[in-house]
Amino acid sequence: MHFDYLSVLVLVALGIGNVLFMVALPKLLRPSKPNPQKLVAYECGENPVGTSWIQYNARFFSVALVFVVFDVEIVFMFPWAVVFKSLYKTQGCVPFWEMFTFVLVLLVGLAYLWAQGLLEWVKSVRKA
Amino acid sequence: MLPIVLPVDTGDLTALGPLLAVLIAALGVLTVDMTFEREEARGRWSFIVGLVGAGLAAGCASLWQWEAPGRAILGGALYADAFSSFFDVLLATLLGLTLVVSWYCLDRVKVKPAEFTGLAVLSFSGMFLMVRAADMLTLFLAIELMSLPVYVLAGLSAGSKTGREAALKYFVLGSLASAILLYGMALVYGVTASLGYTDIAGYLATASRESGVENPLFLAGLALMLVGLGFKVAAAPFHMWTPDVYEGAPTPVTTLMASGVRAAAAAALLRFLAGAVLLTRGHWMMLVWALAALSMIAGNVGALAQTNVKRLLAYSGIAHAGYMLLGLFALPRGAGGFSMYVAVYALSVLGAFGALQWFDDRGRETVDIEDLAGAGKRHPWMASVMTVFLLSLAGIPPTAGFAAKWFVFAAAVQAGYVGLALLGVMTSLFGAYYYLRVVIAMWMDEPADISGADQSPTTGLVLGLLALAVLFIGCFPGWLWFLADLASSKLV
Amino acid sequence: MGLETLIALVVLLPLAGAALNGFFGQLHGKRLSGYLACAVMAASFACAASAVAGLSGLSPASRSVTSVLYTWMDASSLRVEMAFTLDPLSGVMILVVTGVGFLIHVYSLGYMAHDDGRVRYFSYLNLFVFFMLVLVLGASMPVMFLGWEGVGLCSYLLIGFWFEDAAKATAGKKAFLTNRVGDMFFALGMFSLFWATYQAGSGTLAFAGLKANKHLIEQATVGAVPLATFAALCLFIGATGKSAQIPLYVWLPDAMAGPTPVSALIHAATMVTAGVYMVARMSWLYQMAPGVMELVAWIGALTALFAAAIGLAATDIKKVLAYSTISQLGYMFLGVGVGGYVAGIFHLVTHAFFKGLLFLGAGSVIHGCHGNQDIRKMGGLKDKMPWTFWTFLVATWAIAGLPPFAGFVSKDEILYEAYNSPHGSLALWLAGVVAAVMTAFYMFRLFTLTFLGAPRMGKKDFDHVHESPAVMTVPLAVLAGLSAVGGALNLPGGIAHALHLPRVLSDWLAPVFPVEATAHASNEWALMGASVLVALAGTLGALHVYYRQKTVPVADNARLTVPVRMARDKFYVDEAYDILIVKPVRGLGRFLAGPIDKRVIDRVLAELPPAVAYWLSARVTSLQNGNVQAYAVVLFGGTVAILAYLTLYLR
Repeated sequence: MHFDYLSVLVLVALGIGNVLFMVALPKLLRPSKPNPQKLVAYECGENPVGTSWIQYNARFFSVALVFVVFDVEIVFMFPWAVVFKSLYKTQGCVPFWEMFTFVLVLLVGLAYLWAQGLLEWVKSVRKA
Repeated sequence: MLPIVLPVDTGDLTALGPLLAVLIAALGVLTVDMTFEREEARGRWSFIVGLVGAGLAAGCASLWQWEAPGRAILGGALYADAFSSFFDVLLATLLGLTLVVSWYCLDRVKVKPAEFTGLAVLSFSGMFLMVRAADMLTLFLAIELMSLPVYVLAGLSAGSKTGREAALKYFVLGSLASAILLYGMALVYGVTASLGYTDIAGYLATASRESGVENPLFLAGLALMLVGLGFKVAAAPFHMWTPDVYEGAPTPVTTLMASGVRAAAAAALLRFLAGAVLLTRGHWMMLVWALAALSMIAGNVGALAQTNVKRLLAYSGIAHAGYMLLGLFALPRGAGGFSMYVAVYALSVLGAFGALQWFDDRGRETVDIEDLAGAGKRHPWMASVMTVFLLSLAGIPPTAGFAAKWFVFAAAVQAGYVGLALLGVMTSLFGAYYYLRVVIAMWMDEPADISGADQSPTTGLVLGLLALAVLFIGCFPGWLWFLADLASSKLV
Repeated sequence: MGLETLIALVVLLPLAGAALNGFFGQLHGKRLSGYLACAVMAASFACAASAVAGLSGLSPASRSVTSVLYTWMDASSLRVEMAFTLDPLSGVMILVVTGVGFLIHVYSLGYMAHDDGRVRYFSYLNLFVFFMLVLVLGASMPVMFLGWEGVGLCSYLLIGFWFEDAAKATAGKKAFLTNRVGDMFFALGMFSLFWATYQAGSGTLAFAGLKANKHLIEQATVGAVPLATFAALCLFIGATGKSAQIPLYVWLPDAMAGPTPVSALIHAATMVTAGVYMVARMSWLYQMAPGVMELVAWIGALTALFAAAIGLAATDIKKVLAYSTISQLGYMFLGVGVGGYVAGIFHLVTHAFFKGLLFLGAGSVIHGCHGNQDIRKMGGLKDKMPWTFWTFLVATWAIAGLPPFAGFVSKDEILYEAYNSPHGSLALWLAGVVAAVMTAFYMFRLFTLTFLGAPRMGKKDFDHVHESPAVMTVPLAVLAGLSAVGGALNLPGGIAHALHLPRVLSDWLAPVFPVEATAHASNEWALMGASVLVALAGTLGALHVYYRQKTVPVADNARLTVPVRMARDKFYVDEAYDILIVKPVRGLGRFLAGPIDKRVIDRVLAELPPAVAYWLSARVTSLQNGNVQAYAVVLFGGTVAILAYLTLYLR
């Protein structure tokens, strides 16, 4: 029967409960000293006044993209690292070189970004 | 010292040769771009690296294995067969030609040569992956690898508002199409529990009708995948982006989009339809019928009133997608006409865009038919070359376009779709009309005011050779047909 | 060299000459082009002579050699080889074509010496000879038709050679268009023959194959008409076009607009005889259609009479000869029409000699008189142009039918056949005899007015008259010799019998023609005497009127009797054609071009579809509003439609 899904239901309930618990706990523990600066929705340097259809600084996107690239790299490397020892026993150094190539490709990309000056917040204009 | 053992057997590596060559070339261009100090040097060297990559890719195409049966490599992710070799050669040619014909025009459209080359080569690496994709995941990956650089390329022209608009439109709609494609893949996977084409075909062969061929969920997935791939080949009604993007993007990028992207997408479409879901062709043939008919009508009718050559070629490209699809009716026998049409169209349209770029000697792009007025008097040779490409696109003998049309129409007629073939012939009349309008403008109208900037003789020579090749194929289409048919007959 | 190679060379040499002159003539220059053209003709004649000599070495039954160059077309049921057959009949023809052709080429060297278009001229002339040889040597009807059309083309090109003159260009067009009418019927006849054999499962158009399938053609019918009759009739109508017979003769007099050597070669010696040759070639077919044979004979006889009557009144030296040609062609058709194929071909050969000579002589006169062609303004040229005078006399003698020259022998044979053949009759013979009187009369009229008497041109002009150079007079002399002794080719039966001499042409052609020997009649001497008498009568009459009485034709209508006026105005045939055919057709054309084409076709068929297409185009492109959301909607719409279709389809 559909009883199999009971575990899912339990998981959902636990998740919701956990969030509620985490939100409720600080409310009980912290001192409450609000000021206007603290009450803004996001404390990340952008003024949230006005419409949300504004043009963000393009640098946010490039940084975000670079972040995503290396984030994904980690996602691939993590499982590899977990099983590397056993892989080494059966396949020798092949898995190492495979990952090396992968990282190398990304490294070229990183170097390119660097050379283009995209890693600096204030982009230096390259001499043509 | 760790022992060095190659992760794959050498045969597989050989089969991957063209793909690897282009990938390495892409990395090479990136390296060049950050190594050299001066802009010119960066541009020149990246161009050279790109060309070398194209040459290596062509050289690595496993032409000597034409007769060998196709096989899956890398755990069933890729195919190594005559079909991929055929398209390797085609794509390598297209890459080389795209770089050559665009090279001298990049300055005028304010695109940095090194960036153009790098992104183009990267995009082509996606295409090389695409024509050999053997499962849906690889296909999706390849499509994205191909598309993302093209989105960027479309908006690469510094300060060009239309370019930015084109890039954004292409990106938004392309993402939408990708999403639909991915959704379709998910549904297909959900039904068949497999990603590989061979496994999907195997499932369909063994499963009962209700759970396989006629499973509504599966068919819905198939339909969504058709939409996604149809978007990439710009078949109506998924063509709406084409005119705007082709017009807005810098001409070098349009060249790439019209030739390389189309060819690779078409190859992937054929491989998927023939390799994975051939058993359900009773269902999708009717869809292909509708797409082909709509494309031929919308493309040809739309092109009729255009005064902008890029837009005209964009609309006509939609029509060509329709003609191309006619070649699919030859399935389950080899769809050689389809592959041949793809190759001939890609070469002809590349030539046409290339010649169009060659003509922009006024410090800005040649875009309107009026700009070409009197080109025959100013540059009779290049006007002749352009005429050859346009005639080929119009399908007028003795050009390659005629031969290719002949084969796809023959495929449709043999499959019993006489009405559709007739529609194709009739809409071709439209084509003859609007292509000839350009030809007439070139040869019969008075020259527009021209400053007469320097034109590259090398580019002219390359385009001239391409025109000769188009004529040669038109006069002797047999060998290309033979290769295309051989390549396409083993997909099933 | 094998016989096959020789045959191919005969044909291909003139083509090579035409190509060399046509493509490279401007490079190697005007002088060389003429010599080149003559050289290939000489070589071609030499090949033709050796080929015929080789052919005569074979046994009479096996005298047919076919040289296949390549397969022209192969459409499963119809296979046509580009093949040439040399047999006694085509052998005679190639000798005439290349031999007389060579002489006329040489003559042209002098005649065209000062013309700027020499290269073009010699190229066309070579091309003409090539097509003429294709015509006579063709082993099948399509190949013959190729030559048939080709000579028509060259004729058109050469008549309109001086195309800057609108009248001359128009004359070329007239010749071409009139010939088209005939050619259409020729093609129709050809198709019907193919159809007959195809129906029976052995479709062919080769002469040998058709002849072998005679019985099939005999059985077939077109509606109620036997197919043989239909085909023979169609082919004959084709022949009336090419060979200028009633009713399609009207183009030939106008064709005199071309250079005179062209008139000699094409419009006297060779091309216009193609119809006679064709009827002779298809003699087995005509034997199956006695009705058509009778028609052929009568058309020939009437044309002979009719054209001779016009010739009596013409005053242009070339026009007289043109009508004379039409008349003599009529004789040939009379000959083949009554089954006297040998007689017809014989007259064809001798006519090539003496009419070629007459035209060349006329050309020499025109050349000497600086372009004057009106015989009323000539006279007294005898002493100024002795060579031309004497050779012209020989030719006139021959064509008038006075013994012993060639024309007498061959014409006499036709008249003999017309009387004695099973197909002949007294009426046909009488028509021939009357035409003979007129022939003798108008020829001596022409001769007298041109060469004898006192000069009727200005003194200054007369002083400038000069004899033509040797390059022109030598061909005249050669042709004069041939005109004189050509009769020996086929002596009259009685004489040959009496002197124990062979009848060369009859024996030579015997394997080709159906054996239907006209009984050796005892009236031969009587008929011969009659024909000599009428020729003498015409000659003496002309000499009396124009030499003794010094009559000069006048242009003034009032002083002409009605019949003469009618004859001078060519019996108003051109005018009648104009009213009956040209005007109505042109009117129909105007109607179709005006109201129908401009109003109906242009509006409805040519303007409407583009308008609709543009309207559609505007609709389609108006969807393209640049709005991404709208594009996405269309994309989704398509997706939904596909999904809906699949769901509905599965129901």
